Amino acid sequence: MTPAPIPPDDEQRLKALRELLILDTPPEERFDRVVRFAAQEFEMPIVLVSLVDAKRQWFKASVGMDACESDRESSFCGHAIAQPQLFVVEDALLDERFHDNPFVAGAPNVRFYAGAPLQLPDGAIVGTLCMIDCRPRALDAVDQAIFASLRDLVVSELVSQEVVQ
Amino acid sequence: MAVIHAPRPLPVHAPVPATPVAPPIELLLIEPQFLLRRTVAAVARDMRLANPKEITTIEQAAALLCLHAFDALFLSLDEESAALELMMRVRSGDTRCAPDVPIAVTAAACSTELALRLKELDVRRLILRPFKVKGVLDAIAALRQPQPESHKPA
Repeated sequence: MTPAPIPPDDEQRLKALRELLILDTPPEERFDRVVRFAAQEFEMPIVLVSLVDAKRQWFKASVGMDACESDRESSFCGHAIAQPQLFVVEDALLDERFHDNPFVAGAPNVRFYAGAPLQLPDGAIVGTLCMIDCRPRALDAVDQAIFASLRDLVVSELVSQEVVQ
Repeated sequence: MAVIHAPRPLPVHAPVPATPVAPPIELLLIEPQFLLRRTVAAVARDMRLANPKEITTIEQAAALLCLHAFDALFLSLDEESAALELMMRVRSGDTRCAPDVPIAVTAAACSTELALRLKELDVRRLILRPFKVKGVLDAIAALRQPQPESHKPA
């Protein structure tokens, strides 16, 4: 397994994340409805709004996942936030970075992962809107556009919360 | 009038073009559900299918259609009687739109009576819930195409 990389700007990234005052807050309908919508649109068993903290990823909203957090090192989202583009692993078993990842070898038996980085206006990438399936998948250009649009809505909600508070 | 029953995949005869050659159309999008409306509008704009004007009610649409013309209308039949009345006004030339402006609609269900009414109103597409954003984009792409003579009402 390739551990999730730590971006060079991680300190500033974590500062931006903490300034959102959103970590460990209760579920909110404005995020929950996005993950429900994505799960239905893409027929994905697991959809998350994942925020990548220093040592963990914490889920602000989720469909299909009981846990509220997991470790950063073995997270797919930890890889996705290392760059601003959509991060897709079509079949984790065929990917040398992930084939022996504990989330692939064991529950939830990830095969497909798509993570859209949540980039704030100041450039900080605080997490992802991500989708997971236990079978190999691919996203076509229209799927990617729809997914990116939903990601933009999550970012808008994060930013609007930031302004209000 | 084509009817799409989601969640079946996009029909192969009318795929959403990834990079359409024609310029985007001016689309009036009347849809009360925020996430659906916003996602459809954003993706249609990104793909240069349409420049959607987003509104949530038939009342707002009626007011807007008195002021502006659009190349196509896409509306929810949640307010069924008001929506049918508005489409009748459009077809009568009682708005700024061309009377033959292409129209697509979404509905929770469709009775025989409603289907006949939509056919009379020359509605090109009916999409039944539950549907996907992809199905709506496919319908918007179809609104860009000229309607075959054989499909026009007598």
